[in-house]
Amino acid sequence: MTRTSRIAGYIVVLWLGATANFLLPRLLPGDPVDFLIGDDAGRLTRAQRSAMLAQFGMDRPLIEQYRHYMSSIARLDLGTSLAHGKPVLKVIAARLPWTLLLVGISIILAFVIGFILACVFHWVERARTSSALMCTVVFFGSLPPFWVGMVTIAIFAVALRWLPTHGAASLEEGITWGSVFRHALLPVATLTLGYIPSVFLVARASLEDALGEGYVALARSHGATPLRVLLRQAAPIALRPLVNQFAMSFGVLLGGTVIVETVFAYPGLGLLLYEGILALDFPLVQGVFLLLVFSVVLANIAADILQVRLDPRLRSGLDATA
Amino acid sequence: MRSRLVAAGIGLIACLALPGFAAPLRVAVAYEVTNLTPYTPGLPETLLELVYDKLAAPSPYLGNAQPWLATAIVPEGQDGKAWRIELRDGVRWHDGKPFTSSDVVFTLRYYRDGTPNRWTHHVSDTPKLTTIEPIDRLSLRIGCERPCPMFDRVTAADLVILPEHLWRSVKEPHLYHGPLIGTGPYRVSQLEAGRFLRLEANRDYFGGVPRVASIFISFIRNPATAFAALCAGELDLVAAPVPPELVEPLAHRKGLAMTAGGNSPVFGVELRVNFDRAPFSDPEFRRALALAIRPGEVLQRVALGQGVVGPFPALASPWTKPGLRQPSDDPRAAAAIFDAMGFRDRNADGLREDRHGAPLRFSLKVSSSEPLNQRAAQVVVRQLKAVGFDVEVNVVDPARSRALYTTRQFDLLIDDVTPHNLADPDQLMQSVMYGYLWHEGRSYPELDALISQWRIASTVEARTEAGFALQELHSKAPVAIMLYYPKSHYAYRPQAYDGWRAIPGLGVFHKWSLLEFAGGVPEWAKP
Repeated sequence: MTRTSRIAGYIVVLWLGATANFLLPRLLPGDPVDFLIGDDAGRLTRAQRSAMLAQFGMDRPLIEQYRHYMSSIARLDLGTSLAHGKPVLKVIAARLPWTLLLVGISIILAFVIGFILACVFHWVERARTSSALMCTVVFFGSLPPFWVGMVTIAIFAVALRWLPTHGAASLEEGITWGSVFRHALLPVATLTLGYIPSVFLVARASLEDALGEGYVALARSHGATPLRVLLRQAAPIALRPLVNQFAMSFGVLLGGTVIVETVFAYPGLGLLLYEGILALDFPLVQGVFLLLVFSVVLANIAADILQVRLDPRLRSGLDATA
Repeated sequence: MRSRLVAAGIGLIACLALPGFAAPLRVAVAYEVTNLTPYTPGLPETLLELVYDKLAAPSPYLGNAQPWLATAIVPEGQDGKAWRIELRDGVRWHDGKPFTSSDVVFTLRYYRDGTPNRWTHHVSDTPKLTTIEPIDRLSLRIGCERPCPMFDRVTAADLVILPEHLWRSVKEPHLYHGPLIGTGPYRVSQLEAGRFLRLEANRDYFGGVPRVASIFISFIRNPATAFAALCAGELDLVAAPVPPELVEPLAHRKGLAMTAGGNSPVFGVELRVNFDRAPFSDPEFRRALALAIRPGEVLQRVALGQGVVGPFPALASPWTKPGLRQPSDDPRAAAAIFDAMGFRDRNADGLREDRHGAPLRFSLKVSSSEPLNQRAAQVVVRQLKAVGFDVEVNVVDPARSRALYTTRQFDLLIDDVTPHNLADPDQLMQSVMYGYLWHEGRSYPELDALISQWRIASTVEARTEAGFALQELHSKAPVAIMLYYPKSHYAYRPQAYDGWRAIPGLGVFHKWSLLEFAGGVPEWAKP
């Protein structure tokens, strides 16, 4: 694929994402006025309803709304949140750091732990131990995050009183490093636990491929120990497929924060999205989804660039087709 | 969600709470507070009234409203259309500006003529105020298009008053982000969206000094997390009812105490019937449907017997006809009516078909955020199956549930019903006019006659009687079939604060729980 067609592909993906993002909330029955007025929305006259929708630009024909929506995106104007009464960008900006904190730490931990476990899986040669490890990892990964979150709260917050049950920082202390760290531990643990298995499975498979390569056999024939072969010869090669996995994980984990942040009342994007959906807050939901689409595409672009850097064969392939 | 309940149980099993003491008071509410004005969607009146005041208090629900920001609200003339309002002297807004009649005049006009909110119909529709004029600095006069004999007990007890000097130029109130200034017992000290709201006592409050100096309000949507936080000593009160299965364990938990939300429940769970769709549009079919329901069983299985069954609206309300009954608990009579209407089991499969042999299948919508209502749906489905109906439960997200209800895309729907709909006599008229119990334009001559009678009633007695007649008509062929009225329990840490007063319709987290009343505690505010 040429560089130009690759860029065109990304643009099409972004456009499709933005369009779906516009259409999906509008396919739902009802409109945000039901939320703004509550039980009494039914008594509004057509004119009153239109006047309220007009405040948020939702009284116009769909195609006009779409045109306005696309041009607003180009100007980085995501509209005004119905529930917050503030620019969506401002609302998202206030919540984004909390989610980046959770997701960033969770991705790093999941990759480090998942990769180490995959190495252990190959290093331990006894089949029974490897199977036990595999079963354990997959078992923990298959637990619903909601349930894991509640169990960690029950054990570490309620029973042991080591960690707080909810929030991003202590209300009394305010936002201090210690308070933020303590409040992030359980949500991070829940997110990480849920993502380790997919990293582990990819790393295990790619290590297996790498261990079957000729240069590994050569290293073994020169008397290298199994651990040295694993860490020095196979592991660096096995890391390459994980770069794509890393990019993908960003979107997956951002989505996963909806449940985890709701359980822990953590004021990030996931909880914001959940509240936005409950309120049929179209501009807010669109804004958060758009951010997800952009971040996943950007992560993929970064992964593509990194892949080429890590594997020169891909670069020459690209040049050849260019 | 059922998983929430399971998780709540797990949280409690691990609950080894020891009492703790905390100041400021830490309270959790089950929604996110994004702003604190009457135009903030979904904000309960109790939270709003910590910061703002109404002309009368405590609420329209029990017929006991007394002047609050006002000193007197008296009728003028004999036609029940005009009222004179005298206001307290010396009241100040949180920013120090004096509160005067121009604030009240401004607020009533703003609600009447401006963007609607949950409360505005009390001045723009039922009743519709035609004149709102100041008399002097501390008095004003209002006039209604039709008789408004309930103005002092309902309208005045329902609308919070806004400061004119801050709201005068606000054209889009849903987007208001100016200072949050009221006359109430608490000032907004800090509001961090998504995290917390901090309130500080207004020591100059005309109603008495608040007994708690500072309150931190956290937003915890998931009840299991909120009750776990209470057990862990991180909260002093969860301002949401305790789920029935947790009442016993929490009541016996060391360091926690429990209070019941008043002995007169004005909050309920109901089965809504879409009267716009056949066969529910037929009053006889609705009556038979109500007869097929056994609310007592729903109460036992869902709320573990904690509550009462009763008709719509709430029997505990003085605005409800004494002795009003809802047809129920007679599946045999229901089956006989269905048979007579031609809905019979023609192919012996245990389910009824219509005259053309088409099976009768209905859907029952219920919100995914209401686990108890999902349980109620299962019981109702079984009860309806016993009389030959195939009903499928559709669990939908809360926004979709609300939208399906508003756009009338449902057969049956189970939802909570608030005191506003159950115990507000003016709201009853809104309900029969705008879609909850009926809607304008849909033929129902008997109802139209009663609506006319209600509108011309110019005394409290006549208006109440007219309301009784409307209620009786509804109960013959209900579109809102009451399932049960839960008894709400609230869990808190008495070491932190033990002054919670349960008031029907308001729960325990309201300003009347937090005030050292000036001039004695009113009867309705006594625990």
